[in-house]
Amino acid sequence: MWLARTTVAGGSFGAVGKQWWWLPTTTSAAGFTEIPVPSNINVVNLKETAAHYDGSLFICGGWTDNMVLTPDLNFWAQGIRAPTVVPTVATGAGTLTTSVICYLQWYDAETDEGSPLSAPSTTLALSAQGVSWTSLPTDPQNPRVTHLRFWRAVDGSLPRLVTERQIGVTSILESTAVGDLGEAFTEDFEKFPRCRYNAVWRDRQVMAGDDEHPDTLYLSLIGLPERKSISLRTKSGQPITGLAIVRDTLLVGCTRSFEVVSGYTEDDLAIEIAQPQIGLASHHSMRLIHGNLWVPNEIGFYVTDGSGWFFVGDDIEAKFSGEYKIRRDAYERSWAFHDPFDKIYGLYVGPHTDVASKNVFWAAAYDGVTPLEGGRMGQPDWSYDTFSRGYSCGEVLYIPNGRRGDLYLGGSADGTIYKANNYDPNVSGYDDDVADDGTKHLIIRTGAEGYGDFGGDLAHGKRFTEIDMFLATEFKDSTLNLYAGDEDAYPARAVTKTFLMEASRATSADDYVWQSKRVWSFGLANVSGRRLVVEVRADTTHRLEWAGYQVYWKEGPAPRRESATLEGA
Amino acid sequence: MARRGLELGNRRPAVLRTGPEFKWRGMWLGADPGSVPPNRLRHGENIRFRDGAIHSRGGLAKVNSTTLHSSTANVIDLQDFQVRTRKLYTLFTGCPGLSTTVGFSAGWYDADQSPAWQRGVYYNSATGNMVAGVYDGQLYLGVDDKLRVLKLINAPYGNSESLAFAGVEQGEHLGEFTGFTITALQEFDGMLFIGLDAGAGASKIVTWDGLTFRDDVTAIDPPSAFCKWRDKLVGGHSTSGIRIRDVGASPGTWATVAGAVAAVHMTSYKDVVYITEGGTEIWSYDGTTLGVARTVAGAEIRGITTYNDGSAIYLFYGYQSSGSEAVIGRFDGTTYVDAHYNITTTYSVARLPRTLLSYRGGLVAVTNTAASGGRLYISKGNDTDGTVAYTEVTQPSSGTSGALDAVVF
Repeated sequence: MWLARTTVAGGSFGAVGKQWWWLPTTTSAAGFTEIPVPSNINVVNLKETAAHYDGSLFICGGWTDNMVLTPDLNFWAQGIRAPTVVPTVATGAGTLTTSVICYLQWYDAETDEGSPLSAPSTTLALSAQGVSWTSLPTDPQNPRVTHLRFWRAVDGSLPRLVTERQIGVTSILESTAVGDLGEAFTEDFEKFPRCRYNAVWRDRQVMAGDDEHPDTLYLSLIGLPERKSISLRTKSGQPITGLAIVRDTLLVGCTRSFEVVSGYTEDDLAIEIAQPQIGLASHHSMRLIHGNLWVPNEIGFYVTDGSGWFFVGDDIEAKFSGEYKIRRDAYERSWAFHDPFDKIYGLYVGPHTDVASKNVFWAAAYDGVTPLEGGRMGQPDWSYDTFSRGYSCGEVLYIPNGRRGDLYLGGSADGTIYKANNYDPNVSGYDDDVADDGTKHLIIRTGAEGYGDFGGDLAHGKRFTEIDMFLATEFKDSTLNLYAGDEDAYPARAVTKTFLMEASRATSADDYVWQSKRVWSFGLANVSGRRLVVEVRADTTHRLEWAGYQVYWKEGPAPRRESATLEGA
Repeated sequence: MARRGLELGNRRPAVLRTGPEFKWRGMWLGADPGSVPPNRLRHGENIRFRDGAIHSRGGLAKVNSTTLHSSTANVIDLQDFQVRTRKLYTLFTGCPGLSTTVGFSAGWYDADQSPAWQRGVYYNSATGNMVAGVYDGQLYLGVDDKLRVLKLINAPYGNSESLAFAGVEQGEHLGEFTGFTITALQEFDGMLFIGLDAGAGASKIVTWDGLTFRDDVTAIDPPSAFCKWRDKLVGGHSTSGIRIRDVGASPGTWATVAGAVAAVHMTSYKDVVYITEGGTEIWSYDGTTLGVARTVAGAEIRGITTYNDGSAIYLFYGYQSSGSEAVIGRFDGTTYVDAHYNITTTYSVARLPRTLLSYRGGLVAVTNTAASGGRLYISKGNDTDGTVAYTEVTQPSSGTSGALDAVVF
C-alpha cells in the first residue's frame, strides 16, 4: 500500500498534519484512510525521511518525534521511555531464598519493543518467600504500550525477565524459580533524540539532523532500530545535511563536505572525511539511481558510487550555481524524484530565471551517465520540466508485488496527488498536463548556429532560403520560429518567421502503420544573418517528436542592422 | 510552402541536423549562445530525449477527484510501503457463490491484493466444522477431523481470485483425529493447542510442536475457544466452565474453574479474561472469580476483541440486538458503552457481528447479513463510533453465503 502525508497551515501557529494510506485503485479522497497519530505528536511542516526495516517503516523529520509505522498500520513514536516509578516490592508467600533487586519495563507486544528498565527497587532478602509487587503503574503515558514487564536481578546477576502483564494490573505476587526466569537484560540504550534524517545501515538505524546537535550522528543497537546506542560527531565539525547508503557505504552529507562511516561494532565504528569540498544542498535532493547517488550542491551535480565522485553538471554549471546563489533557500529545501520510465532524475527548485511564471524541475536524462575512459563520467542531457502548480514530493509507487512503478507527484496547497505519464500514448491527451493550472509549454530552442560559415566582414553573411523540419505532431499543431541575426539575442527586432506544422496521425492500413507526416519544407524570404536559431513551440502538446532539420542558404548581406528594414526585402 | 522569389548569390550546400549519426542532446548553458554545439539546445522545456530525437514529456493526471484533507492541503510526502503479508482469513459455511450449506471454505481479505477479498480453499465434503489458527508463522486449518497447514498461493494482482487460480485445495495435510472434530486452535508456549470434540466427557486437547502430536488433556468436555492470559492458556468449553494451563511440556497440567459459561470467543483485556457465549452475557475471569461481567438484554453477543485506537486500548464486543441490528459496544475497563456504534443504521443489511478483529489499523466486524451472507465492516482508522462511516466489504462472487468467522494472520 501507499502512504501520503498532508499538512495544512494552522490557524495561528504551525500546521495540521495527517498521515494516510491508500491503494492503486484510489480515485477520490474517500479512498484514503487516515492513520491515527498519537495525540501528543504534532506535524512539522518539513519533508520526512523514511527507512524500512523488518517490516516496519521508520520515519524522521516530519513530526515532533521520530515515528514508526508498523505492518498493522499503527503509528507510534519511536522508543519507549522507562517507567518513572521505583518498584514497590515486599516479601510475600513463596519458595525463594535469595536476594533480589526488582525492575519494571514498559513493553509493546505488537512490535516487541520495550523501554529501558526503571530505577531499581531496594534489595529484598527472601527466605522461603515470594515477591509481592504492589502500586504498579497503570498509565504508561504512551498509547503503544500493552504490557508491564517484571525483571529481577538475583544475587547480583543481570536482571532477568520474570513475567509480563497487560496494562491495568495493579499488583502481583510471584515466586518464579531462578531456573524459570527468562532472558537477561544486557544492553543499555536510550531513546533517540528527534532527528530529521535516517537510514538503515548494517542492521542499525542511523539518524542525524538533531537540531540541538546538528553535527552528531546516532546509531542504534544492531537489530533494534529504536534503541540508540552510539553517537559520532563529524570530523569536520560541520552540520549534517543528509544521509545516504550507497553499496553498503554510509555517506554523511555535511554543509561543505562528505564523510564516511565504517565499521560494524561499537569497538570499530568510525567516521572520516571522504570529500572535503563536496557538500550536500538538501537531503531530499539525493537519489540513488542504478548504484549511483545523485548529489547536488553549490557547484552543481555529482554522482558517487560510494567510492568515486564524478561531476555531471558540466553543461549547466554556471547557470545552476548562479540560480542557487540567488535562491539559496529554495535550493536547500529542494527535493528530487527518479522516474525510471523516462530515465529522469528531476530536482524541484520552484521559480527559475529562465522560465517565467512557472515552477521548474532540473531534469537530467541519465542514459549517458556511464563511466568513460580516463576515469571520467558521461554527462546527462539536461532540460526543464515546468508546471504552473508547485509540487512538494515525488515518488515511484508500485502495486503490491509489482515489478514496475509509476511516478506520482504530491501537489502543493491543493490536496491532490498526480500521476505522471498517465495516459495511453496512442490517444489524444497523452502529453497534457490537464491537471496543471496553466498551459504546458514545450520549447526546443537551438543555439545561434553559424553552420561553420560566418562570412568575412560585415558585408557578408547568409540569406536563408529553405528549411526542412523533421517533426511529427499527432493530435495538435506545433509552431516553428526562426530567429536570424548575428547573435542570439540581437537585434531585438530580428526577423522571425513562424510556420505551422499541423497535426497528423499515424494511420493503420493494409497491415502496416503508416507514419504521420514528419517532413515539412518551408521556403524563406528575408531571413538573413550570420546565424540562425531554430525554435519549436507547442502548447499543451500531443505526442510530439522532433528529429531535427535541414537548412539551406546563399551568400548574402547580413549587416548588423539598427532598424528592422532589410536590404532586398 | 512560401512562394519563392528570385534569389541572388551562390547557393551553399544544405546542413543537416538529423540522421542516424546525429543525436540530439540536452541543454548547454554556457554564456555564449553561439558556442552551443550543433546537437545541443539553448533551452529545452518539457521534453524527453529518446532514440536520438526529442519527444514531448508525458502529461500528468489527477489521482483523486476530490481533495485530500483540505483544498489547500500540501501533499508533502509520498511513500511506497510494501508491507508484509497480513491477511484477514474468512471462514464460511459453504462457499460464496457455490453453496450456503455444503462444506466449508476459507478466503482472505487484503487491501493489497486484487480482488481484495478472494475465495481460497473449499472443502465441499466437510460436514463438521472449520477453524483457523496461527502457529510458527503459518496458518493452520482444522476441517472436521483433519488438520492442515495452508500453503498460500496468491493470484496475480488484478487477475483472478485464488480459488480460480490455484484450485480448491492449498493445504498440506498434517494429521487426522478420527472420531473427533477440531473446534479450536491456539498457539501457546511454542506449541499449537488443538481442541478436539467427541462429546461431553470424551473430548480432548492435543498439542503439536511441529514434529509430534501429544495428548495434553483427555476426557474433558468439548473445547470451544482458547485465549492467552497472563503467562497462561485459558480454554473454554461448549458446555460450561473454563480451564487454565501454565507453561510447560505436554502433557500439561490444567486447573478447572466452574461457571455456567459456554465459550464462543475469549480475549484478555487489562489482565482479565472476557468470554462471550452467543447470548446476552459477557463473562469475566480475573484469576479468582468467573462470573457475569455485563448483560445486554435481548442480545446475541459473539465477537469480542481488544483494539488500540491510538490513544488507549479498549475492549470491543459485537452483538445482534433484540431489534436484529448489528451493534458494537465498548468497554474501557471501567465503563461499558453498549451502543458505541450501530452498524445497521448505516448499512441496513448488517446483522450479527460474529467476530471482531483489529486489522491494519481498523476495527473489523465480521458479520452475517440479512439474506446476503457475510460482510466485513471496517472502521475508517480509529473512528470506531462511525463518525466517519465504516467501509462495507462484500463477499467475493455473487449470491448468498453461510455463516462467517475470521482470523488475522
